[in-house]
Amino acid sequence: MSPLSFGFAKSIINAGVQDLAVQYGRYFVFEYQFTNGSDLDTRTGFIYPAIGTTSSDIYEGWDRAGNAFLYWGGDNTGNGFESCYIDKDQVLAAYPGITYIEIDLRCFWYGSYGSNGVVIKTNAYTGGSMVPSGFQWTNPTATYSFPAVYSVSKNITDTNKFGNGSRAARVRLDFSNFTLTYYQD
Amino acid sequence: MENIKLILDGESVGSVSINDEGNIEDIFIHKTAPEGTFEKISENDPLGKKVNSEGYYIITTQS
Repeated sequence: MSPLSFGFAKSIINAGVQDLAVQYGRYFVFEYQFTNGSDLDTRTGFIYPAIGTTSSDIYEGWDRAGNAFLYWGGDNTGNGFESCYIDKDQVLAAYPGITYIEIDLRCFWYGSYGSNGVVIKTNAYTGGSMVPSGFQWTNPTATYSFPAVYSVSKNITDTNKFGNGSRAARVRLDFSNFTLTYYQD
Repeated sequence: MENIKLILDGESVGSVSINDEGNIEDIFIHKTAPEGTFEKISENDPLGKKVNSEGYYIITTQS
């Protein structure tokens, strides 16, 4: 099946159709997109399975150590993207039997507030190796690349540099039903 | 105590913890920082008040 056919299926994901990216994807990249404002700091962590015990090792991002299951693309002090990916196989090997993964996607403004809000974009890949590209991740050797799934924009007003940010979204990858769902609460 | 973003040669590499007297108590380097970052910072004496008006701790090693 060609990547284009995966993309066609993607367009009806919100109708509850099985998502081929969730079914076949191994690497899931969560990109925070911010088109104005400056220096959005991201905090990405696992809700399920619960990984980490302190705010430093639960979350990955500026001033956070993260854990072995989160791969951050670095700190963007301008605007554009910050991103973090997970390796589904690595998580399932460490937490056998889980049927879904839920990721917390939080952020705050270290620089200036951006009124356009923050959109989360999830890309998925099968095979190959993940490669950093600016503050994003790509996989030029992937067997399949799955087109992005976008969240709705969330207005982030949090400017507290010492907390864990406000939630832009949480995303659930359900491996029983093969669905990807964003939640804003 | 305040955590300030640490910028080395234009790149965010971590944070510095600054106490109420303005002195550095700790330096945290991100996993994503280039190799040799800590050495570069040490060699360029971060012990000074270099926090700019936007709240960034700036170290420049390149002329």
